[in-house]
Amino acid sequence: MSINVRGVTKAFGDFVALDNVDLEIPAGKLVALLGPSGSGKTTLLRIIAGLEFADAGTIAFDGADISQRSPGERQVGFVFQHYALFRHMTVFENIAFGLRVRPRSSRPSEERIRAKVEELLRLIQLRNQASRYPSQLSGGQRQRVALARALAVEPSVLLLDEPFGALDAKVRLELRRWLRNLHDEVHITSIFVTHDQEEALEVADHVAVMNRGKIEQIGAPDDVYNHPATSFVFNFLGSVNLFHGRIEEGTTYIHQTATDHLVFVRPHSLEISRRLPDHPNHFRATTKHINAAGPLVKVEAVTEWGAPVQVEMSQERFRDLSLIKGEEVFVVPTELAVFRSSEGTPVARA
Amino acid sequence: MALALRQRSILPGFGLTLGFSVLYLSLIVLIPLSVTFWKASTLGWGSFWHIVTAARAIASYEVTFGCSLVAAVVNLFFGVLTAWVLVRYTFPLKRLFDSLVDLPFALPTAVAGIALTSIYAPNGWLGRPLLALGVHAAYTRLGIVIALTFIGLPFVVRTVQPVLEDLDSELEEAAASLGAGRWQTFGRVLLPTILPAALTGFALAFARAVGEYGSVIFIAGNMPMRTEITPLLIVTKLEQYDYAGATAIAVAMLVVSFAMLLAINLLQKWSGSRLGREELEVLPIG
Repeated sequence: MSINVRGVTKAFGDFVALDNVDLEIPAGKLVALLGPSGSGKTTLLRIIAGLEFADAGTIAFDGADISQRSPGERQVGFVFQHYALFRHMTVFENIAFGLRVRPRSSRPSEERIRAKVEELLRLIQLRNQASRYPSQLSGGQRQRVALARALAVEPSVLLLDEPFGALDAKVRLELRRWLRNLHDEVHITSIFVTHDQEEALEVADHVAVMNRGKIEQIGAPDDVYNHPATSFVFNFLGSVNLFHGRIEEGTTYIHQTATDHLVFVRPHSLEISRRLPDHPNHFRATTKHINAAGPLVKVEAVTEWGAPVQVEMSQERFRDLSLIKGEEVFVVPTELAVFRSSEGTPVARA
Repeated sequence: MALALRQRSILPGFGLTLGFSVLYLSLIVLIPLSVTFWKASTLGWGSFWHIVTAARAIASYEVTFGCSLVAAVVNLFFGVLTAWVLVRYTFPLKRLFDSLVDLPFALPTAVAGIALTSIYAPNGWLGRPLLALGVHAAYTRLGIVIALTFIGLPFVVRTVQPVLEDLDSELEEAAASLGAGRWQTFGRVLLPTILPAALTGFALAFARAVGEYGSVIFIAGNMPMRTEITPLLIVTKLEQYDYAGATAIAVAMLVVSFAMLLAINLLQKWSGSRLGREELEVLPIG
């Protein structure tokens, strides 16, 4: 089912959580709402679910306006960050809840409910935990139960609010791959909210980056990552070095004094060398700290004008350079993006 | 078999705190209670049984335990309702209303008894219209129930209130998104969550009502066989210098109270264990 958000605005007192937001989600896609806390992403999700009501604007499912319907009537599955499982019910009863509360006329028979729950337990790989209580499960297991509970009512839309936010790093990684696989199997239109850019880029078909109640950019993960539309998106998706710059005859120069152009360079787009580079756009820096643990070597340095700069290089390159702490080196950006500092709109890429 | 009383813990003072607790409990609770049993045992089994099964005594147990149970049930409903209103809604003078709930704790029970009697007496504010409807409030068992409800009111409110405050609104939202109506959400999600706390409050209100004396004697009328409560029967025996008889009835009352509280405690433990958390202990007072 496609979702159509049009002109949605929501304020809590003086704070504008959503400012005239438009969002189009094609049927069957898995979309991430990515943004820092306070960007309005959870509010948007809750408005789509009907747990919150917009001050202005409409929500349509498959073209039909559902803005005034109650959450139960919208047929959405909602998964909460802190699971919100019913503590006094077993795993089985939690999953069966949505089926048991249906009016008598549309309620499935006991055998049908049993079969449905068994099927979902198989899907979440918790078949032998059916009679346990939520308090006896791990965080990852609880979140899977919450997901099965939401899926039991066969929703037309699945909404997940920071579904992996309360889990530790390893379980998080495992569960998000599992969610991706699950989505490939059931193809239900899904939206999940996250503040973790890595998670959004890895799992989603489309990523909508939100900031201050507005959607800054929406697109495929590689598109959003490689062609950020605004300085905010560039800044938010991965770590970045920020410089001032000036443009002369089509070439961008990194500059130490304030200008009206901001130059963004990712740490892996900076190259360190000992010889004076041929490229005119370079600067000198002194290495301060080297972290060689992990697939990439992370070097922290200080530029000739005293600003910190992050550089990432491969282990191989690091060995060839045999870089040491406190050494003066040349730094050349291999790839950069320039934004006008006042508006955050892109100017040039090199 | 070695019983490990001393567990390794980073918190110091196990010996000191346990020792002090035992001493304190002994001086204040255990020694006085055992003296009661010892005093009653001077009677011999035959006369003990005769005293505690006397028709007047049996009737007083019925009044005390029956009225306490009814009062505790009433408090269970109204207590949950009051706690709900205090937690869920904001209204003018809410703080004042909230503090009023504790008043039955602070008020001397005799004052409560006199106030309730003057209001519910046949010529009182509420007693007169009730009488017109054919309801005799004061000097009947209904009067006793009213007094016991009054003094037990804070217990359920104060045990349920914190649980309701802690209740995550996400639970209700989850139920709503799964298609449950308001009543289904209340009955299937909220009620089971607050049940252990409500049972604790129920047990406390019941225990308090069983031991209540001051407020009841004014409104009860104290007719032997009909509206005489067991604590009053004990006092009557004491006034007649029948110390052994008084303690015999006290022992019977203690045993019954203890058995009932134990049963409520087990029920509460059972409902609490399903929530996967430590259950609150029920302490008999009153």
